[in-house]
Amino acid sequence: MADNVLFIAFPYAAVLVAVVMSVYRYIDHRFTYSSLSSQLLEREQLSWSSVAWHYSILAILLAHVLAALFPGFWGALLGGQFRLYLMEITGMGLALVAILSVLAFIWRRLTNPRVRAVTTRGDWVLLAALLAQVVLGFLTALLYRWGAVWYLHTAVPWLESLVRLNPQIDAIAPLPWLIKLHFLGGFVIVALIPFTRLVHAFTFPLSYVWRPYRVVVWNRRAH
Amino acid sequence: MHLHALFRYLNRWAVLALLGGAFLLLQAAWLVHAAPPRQSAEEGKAIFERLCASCHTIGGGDLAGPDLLGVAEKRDPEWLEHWLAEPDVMLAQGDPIATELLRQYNNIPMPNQNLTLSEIDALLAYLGVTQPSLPSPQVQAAAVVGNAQAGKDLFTGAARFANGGTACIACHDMAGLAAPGGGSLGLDLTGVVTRYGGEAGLSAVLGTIPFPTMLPIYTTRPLTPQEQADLVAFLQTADAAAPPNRTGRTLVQGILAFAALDVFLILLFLWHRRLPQDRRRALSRRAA
Repeated sequence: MADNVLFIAFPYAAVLVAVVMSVYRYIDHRFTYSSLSSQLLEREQLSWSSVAWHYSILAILLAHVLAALFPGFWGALLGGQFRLYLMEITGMGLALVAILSVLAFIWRRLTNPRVRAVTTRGDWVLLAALLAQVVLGFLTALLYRWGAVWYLHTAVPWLESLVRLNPQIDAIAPLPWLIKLHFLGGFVIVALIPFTRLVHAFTFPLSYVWRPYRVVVWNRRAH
Repeated sequence: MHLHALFRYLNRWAVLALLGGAFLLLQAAWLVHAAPPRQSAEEGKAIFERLCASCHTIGGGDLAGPDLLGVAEKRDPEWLEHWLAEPDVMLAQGDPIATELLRQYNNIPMPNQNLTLSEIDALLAYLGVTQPSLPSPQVQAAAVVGNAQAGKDLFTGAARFANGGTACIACHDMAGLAAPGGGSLGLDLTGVVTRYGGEAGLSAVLGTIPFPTMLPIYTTRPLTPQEQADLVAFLQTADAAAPPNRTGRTLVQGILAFAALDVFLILLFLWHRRLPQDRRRALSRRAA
């Protein structure tokens, strides 16, 4: 019963909240629809942590999404011991980069008075959720290997069943609680999107692809 | 409160509450719909063949688990019902009969199959009919000759299962696999042939794979008789070996992960030294 609430009701509720409230925020608070960057207040530390964070987490997210969308392709990619080890170790290395970057984000917000002044409660909740999620993901990979493969036949069928509106949790119900917490954490973060600066994920400048060229002219010669 | 102020307040949250409520109703409807209908001895037979036949026969002799011929007379019905419902709990509580059975059958615990009450009723009704049944077809499959190398390829995922089942390495480790070895979500399979009572017993288990974690995967993606035989042949090669050191394997994996981290940190350092420094200097000069 608890599994039904956590892995059927909660994911739907999280996605529903994310969609409805994101649309609401777009209509009602469009000016806040951004990363609300604090780069102007402090840029040196941020350039290290933000670059490391975005490259690592986007690569990890891409792996999760690709595997869920094309399980056959992903299974073939990991066929064979060496390729499996290579993929898993790369993923775990990236997870460590992500963990260090979130810690750096937290350190920066705690220690820099200018940044701290613009830090909201939502920022702390989001940072805590992200840290918990990447740590759980790393521990899942370390303690219950090889997740890159078993993901395809546990979480993927569950996610697919949610998308098809015919929820099935048999495949994930017997898994250890640490792995289930990682599943749950994913949907917690989805639910946090509209309430935090994570909403900037939706502001990716796709229109740059088709907008006209812009010529940048400097007044002085650059050296 | 003005009615109109109340409506403005409601607008935002009422929509959410309504959606949430509708959603919970759907949930309830789904749960009721998913509840299984009542079952009979005939259905008990189907359940037996699906979930029990890999480890048990009725009159066909012991496999990984005991022959169940006459079990309805041998055991107290209430005990049997409890055992079918939660064997894991009874073992954990140290039930004397359960503990003795575990010792007698190579410490292979009976898995909890998450049977519903009506499924247990059906099974009890079926077990009450004490006619010997033929050994399950999976046992006869042991006659196929297996190839250990083919089995290794299937185990590691280098070759794919015909019906698309997960490669064993995803969750299982075994002696003879290069470090960091196979998965650690499931059990180490070193020595599993002996534990399951020889090749015939293990083939029977691979025929239905009755474990709760594996059942949802392999029910729709069964292993072919040839694949079962190949896997048994491969598992046989490490049957007498010492199981790999689990902590050691995890340590190797962790060290490799930190090595990967170092590579990424070096890349980050190189990137950081090249681009933004120059750009920042140029920008600040302009600002000045």
